[in-house]
This record gives sequence, structure tokens and C-alpha cells, in this order.
Amino acid sequence: MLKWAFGLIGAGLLLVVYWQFNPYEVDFLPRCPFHAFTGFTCPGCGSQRSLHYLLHLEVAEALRENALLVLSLPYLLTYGLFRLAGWDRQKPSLRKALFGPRAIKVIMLVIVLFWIGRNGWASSRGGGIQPDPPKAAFRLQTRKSNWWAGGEHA
Amino acid sequence: MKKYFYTDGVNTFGPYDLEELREKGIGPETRVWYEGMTGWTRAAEVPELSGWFRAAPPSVDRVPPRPGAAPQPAPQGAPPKSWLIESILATLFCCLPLGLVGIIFASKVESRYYAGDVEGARRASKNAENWTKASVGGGGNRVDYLLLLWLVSFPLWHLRWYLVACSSGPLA
Repeated sequence: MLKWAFGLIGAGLLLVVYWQFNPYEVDFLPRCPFHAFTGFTCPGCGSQRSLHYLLHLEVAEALRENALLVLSLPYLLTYGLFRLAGWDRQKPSLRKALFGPRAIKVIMLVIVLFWIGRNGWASSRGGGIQPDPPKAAFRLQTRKSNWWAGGEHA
Repeated sequence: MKKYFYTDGVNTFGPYDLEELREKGIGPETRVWYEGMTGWTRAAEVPELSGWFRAAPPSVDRVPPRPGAAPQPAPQGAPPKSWLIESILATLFCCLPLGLVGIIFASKVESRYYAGDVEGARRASKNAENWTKASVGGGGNRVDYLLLLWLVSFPLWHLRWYLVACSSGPLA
């Protein structure tokens, strides 16, 4: 019970953080290690931004940042409610169809295809192993006080 | 606690624990099975049950042993927790493709369970849990290097941003 309470409070706080801050504009949110080391995007890259836009009900933006997250949330919610309702045991055939071995294999296939696809998409547009220059430029302009650089905003 | 099943040659009964099984009044020739056994076994040959029959007269057990492989009792209830939700979320939010390994084990939990391998499903469930927690960066001793990975990647990102900023000309 206590575990549930802490979990709910933690999740709520995280949602508030992601609602309040756009990961494009702040730099305290975690970065993707896979992207940092390889320069390729992983299936989860952009999920924080996507969540931010989702919380602001900007679905088109959210889809652009990470379509997989937007598409998988309804499925995960369904599974969560399914478990909460105790249908795991009561409706075994429905459970097997929706969340059984075959369903999981389809999910894996979707994730891997999405992974390959988004990297292919990026490199076909000249992306690949590059940070996003517009983002860096944007950050420089919107930075309120770059105290470490000793500039005019110091 | 071991769970016992017994069969009358047509139907399978169970699972029971030891006390419940005793109340069923099975005979020494009744075929009994519990998880880990290769096939149906005479109750008199199961060490913890054999003591029940010593003083008893031979029962009129007309069970013919089944030809071929012993039938596996069909699993009852639901598979062990597959950690599917958690591993998908870990794949999507933790950016380490390790979450995918969790999903692979989730798939093993399900397929083993429906193939009748309950024990294997349970082991896969444990693995799924470990890998899912590993991809979050905590839990377990053997995955502490993942936490390190997170910590190293953070300054790496800032370094990269700094290089881009420098190479794009004067700031003002």
C-alpha cells in the first residue's frame, strides 16, 4: 500500500516536471546515453519531449518527437487497467490474445522496425551522427544568464 | 510448498498440498505427480507419501498406467508476471536498448507458460525483472555499471553541445 502511495506521488511529480519544462529548453533532464555514445537514436529518444507535448495536448508535436510512445501509451494503459481489474485470471483467453506470446513478438518487431526506420529516416535527410544545431542555437539565445561564460548576461 | 496432482487414469486432480492430498485417500498404486517429476509415479514410490501405505492393505486400484509420456497437468490461473509494461516503458524512457532484453524475456515467460513449462516461465519472469530494472540503471549488483553509464553520458552531452556552440562561430 505504501509502495503504491509513493509510486503515485512520484509519478505525479514527474508528470508535473514534464508538464512544466520542455526538455528542449532545460538541461537538467537526463539525456539518452545511447545517443550520446553512438549518435544514433534509440527507440526511446524524444520520449521526454513527446510526453511534454502530450501533456499539453499537442498530439502532432508529440507524434513527431516519438510516435512509438504516443502509440504505445493506450496499449500500456489498457494492460494496466486489465491487471487492476483482475482480468488476468478471469479472462485468460482475452489475456492471451492481447498480451500473450504472439502479441509480445509483434511488439518487439514494431520496436525494432521503428528503431531502424527512424535512423534511416534521419540519415536520409543528412542526419545521423550529428547533434541538432538548431537546438544549440536556440539554447544560446534563450539562456537567461550564462554566468560561466562571463558575457553580458553575467 | 510442493503442489501434488493425482490422476485416476482419465481425469487429473490438483493441485493439493500434502495435507489435502492425504484427505483424498489415495492408494499406493495411484499415480501422483508434482513439479519437477518427469512423469506420473506410483504414490508408494514417492518418499513422503510411501509411509501412508505401509500398514494399509493393498487397494483395489484398477488404474492402468498410461502408455507413452505422462501428461502434464494443464497450468491453472495466469502466467507469472511478465514485466511487459515495465520493460516497454523502460525501452521508451531509459533509452538503453536493454529494455528490449526485458521484452524478450517477457515473451519467454508467456510462450513457456503456454507450453506448460511453468517453472521455466517463472525463471524467465525473474530474468525479465532483472533486465527491466537493469535498464533503469538500478537494482542488483551486476548492473551498477549502468548507473555509471548514465553519469558518464551526461557530461558527454554537454561537451558535445559545447563543441557545436564553439564551431558555429561567435556567440553574440
